[in-house]
Amino acid sequence: MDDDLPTDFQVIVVGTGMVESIVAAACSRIGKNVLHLDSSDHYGGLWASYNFEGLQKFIKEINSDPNRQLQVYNLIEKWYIDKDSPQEETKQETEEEKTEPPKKIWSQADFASEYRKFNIDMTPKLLFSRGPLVELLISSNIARYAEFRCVTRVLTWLNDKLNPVPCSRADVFATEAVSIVEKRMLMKMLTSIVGYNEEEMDNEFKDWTDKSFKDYLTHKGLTPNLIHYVLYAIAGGSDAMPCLEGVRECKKFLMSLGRYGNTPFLWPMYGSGELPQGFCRLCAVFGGVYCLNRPIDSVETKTGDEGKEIVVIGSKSKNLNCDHLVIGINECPKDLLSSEPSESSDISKAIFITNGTIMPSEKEPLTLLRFPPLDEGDNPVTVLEVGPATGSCPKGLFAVYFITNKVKDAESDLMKYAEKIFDMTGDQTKAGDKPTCLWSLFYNVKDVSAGVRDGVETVHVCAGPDAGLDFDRAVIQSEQIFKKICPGEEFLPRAPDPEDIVFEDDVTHGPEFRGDEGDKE
Amino acid sequence: MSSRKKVLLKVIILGDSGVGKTSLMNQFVNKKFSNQYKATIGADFLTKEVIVDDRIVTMQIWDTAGQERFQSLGVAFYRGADCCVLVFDVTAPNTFKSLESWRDEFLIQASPRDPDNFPFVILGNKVDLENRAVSAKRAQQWCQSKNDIPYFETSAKEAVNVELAFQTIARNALAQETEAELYNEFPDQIKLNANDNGRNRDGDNCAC
Repeated sequence: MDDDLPTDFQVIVVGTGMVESIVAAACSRIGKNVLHLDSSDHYGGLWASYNFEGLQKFIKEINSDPNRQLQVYNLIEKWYIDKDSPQEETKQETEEEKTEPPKKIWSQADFASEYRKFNIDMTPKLLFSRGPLVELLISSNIARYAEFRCVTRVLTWLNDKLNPVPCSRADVFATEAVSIVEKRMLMKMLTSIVGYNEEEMDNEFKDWTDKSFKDYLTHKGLTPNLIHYVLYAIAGGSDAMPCLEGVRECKKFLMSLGRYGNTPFLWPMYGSGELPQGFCRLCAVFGGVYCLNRPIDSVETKTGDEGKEIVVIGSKSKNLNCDHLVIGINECPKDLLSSEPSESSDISKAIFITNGTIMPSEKEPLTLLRFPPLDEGDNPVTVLEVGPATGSCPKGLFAVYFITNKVKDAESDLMKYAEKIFDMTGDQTKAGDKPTCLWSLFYNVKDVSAGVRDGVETVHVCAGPDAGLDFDRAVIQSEQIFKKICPGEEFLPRAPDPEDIVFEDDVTHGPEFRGDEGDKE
Repeated sequence: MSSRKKVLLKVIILGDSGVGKTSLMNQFVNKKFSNQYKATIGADFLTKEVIVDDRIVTMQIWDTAGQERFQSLGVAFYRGADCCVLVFDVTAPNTFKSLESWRDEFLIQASPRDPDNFPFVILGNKVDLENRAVSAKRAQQWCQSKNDIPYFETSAKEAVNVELAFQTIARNALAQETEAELYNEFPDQIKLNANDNGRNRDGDNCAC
């Protein structure tokens, strides 16, 4: 069946991660002939979302053959609950009788039987409501392939407990956590940050370029609580965060308020792994050819008849030819990468499945929690908690993601933060104020932006996921790669709405906008 | 204001490459047929309003966009389907044999709440052609064995049974949707669009 696969393309994309998928869509959209391959049977690569069974498979694969996926290491999976739940029969009967059923006691078997209801992200990220990815999804019309939910609250860890961070004007006025004097101070501060543009920033902050954001906030007379909110929660920084970076991060946060909800952030329904698939679908709609389960064996460049360089990809004893190869770092043969040491900062990540939210609220919450570093030498930790309404897990459970820049390894970097907000004993009968952790996974990811061997200009390597909260770096990199392949072409112009596409008998490629004379049937 | 909310049904069409999925959609929605689109290019989803039992229903019919050719449809394609239409070519027995695996694939990927009663419809397409190779009886028997899936023999080219088939699809999808509504505890997903307001239910939240 695979033998039908055509062999000559203008662009071949290997790997279906975020960057690869955006580039594939952009090339196909402007008429390039695109083939898109992935060695695995699903979309997303390191950006994928898995159901619980898929996740188990992923863990098993990496543990059995660490060389298969060099980007991920230090993988540790832990269960905190029993394999099977005892006396389930009798429990069910009593549940029917009572108006308020007792809290469900989860077993490993329950996870297995509800495995399809999990969509666990390997690269959980948020979208800023006015950030580059939201704008790109709207302007390209790819937004029609995805749905989102608003992050309902931003929390931080302050005075040894969880605190909601007032982020909108309404929040600031409603909160009881800060005094009236502080409210005025905070509003003035936030309003002035929003007001600055880059040029004015140069003036206002010209003496602050080599100083920290914390020094600036202190200088402005903010109280310690307000400094905590602005620095750790809104700017997502640490004590050492440079002043200008802090101002930029705050501005990004504030500019995205009020578009869709109470916080600046959106979360994709069913997880971040849906987004690459949206870009792939657009690529396919414009004629891109898709083939999963198609590993590649070799990549060579050679000079064709007219002196043009072509890239030849060996795959299942077939040669696939293209003018440009776009390849995800996790799929890229090592001999193609430049041997020069590249900038590499690794990421520590953890996923927890719990039996409740870290802070109860009226409606199901969707939470961004930002921890300041708890110990000297730590990095700030970002936590995302998503519930059943996002399609991430079965009813009654929450999936909680932890992300930080690596210091030692994922478990030692993150366990102490998890212990602050979860009960790690596995006891589901206790009515404590912390949710019980039922399952966890720790892992490290290499954040490498490797270059290609010198002299190869027709191969473009896409970086893996970064530690950032948003997709900005992926969007920027995709556009850069696209501009190299298609100089002067527009990056993802708006795709026509389906009703604007005409099917004419003599149309052989590419949909066209309906002309004035178009049949309005 | 109408007491009943507007209904949008997501219908997905599956089946081997070349059985006429795009043509069937296009015949139903645009009343057009072309011999030209061999592989699917430019087909995304088409919408059409139909009336089912005095209710106006918007059908959103999703094409595979050619991603089925090398078995590469992603799970995102299947999300939230209210009905699944399985198409085969009555002149190509292999496409009939594939129905079973397409049905299984749908049930695995879409994981509907009640798989036994999820609405499928089977279309045996290209009945206008002379070289028929799958008999109506054989197709009907298979459909009966799968919990009585409705079966239609269609020709996208000559518009045979297309309207009737899609009416049935809409009706069965609607029955599914009405039931799903009862379970939908989390209705307020956001669709992004150029207007800034999306579904901003909390009023003015702007700090700036």
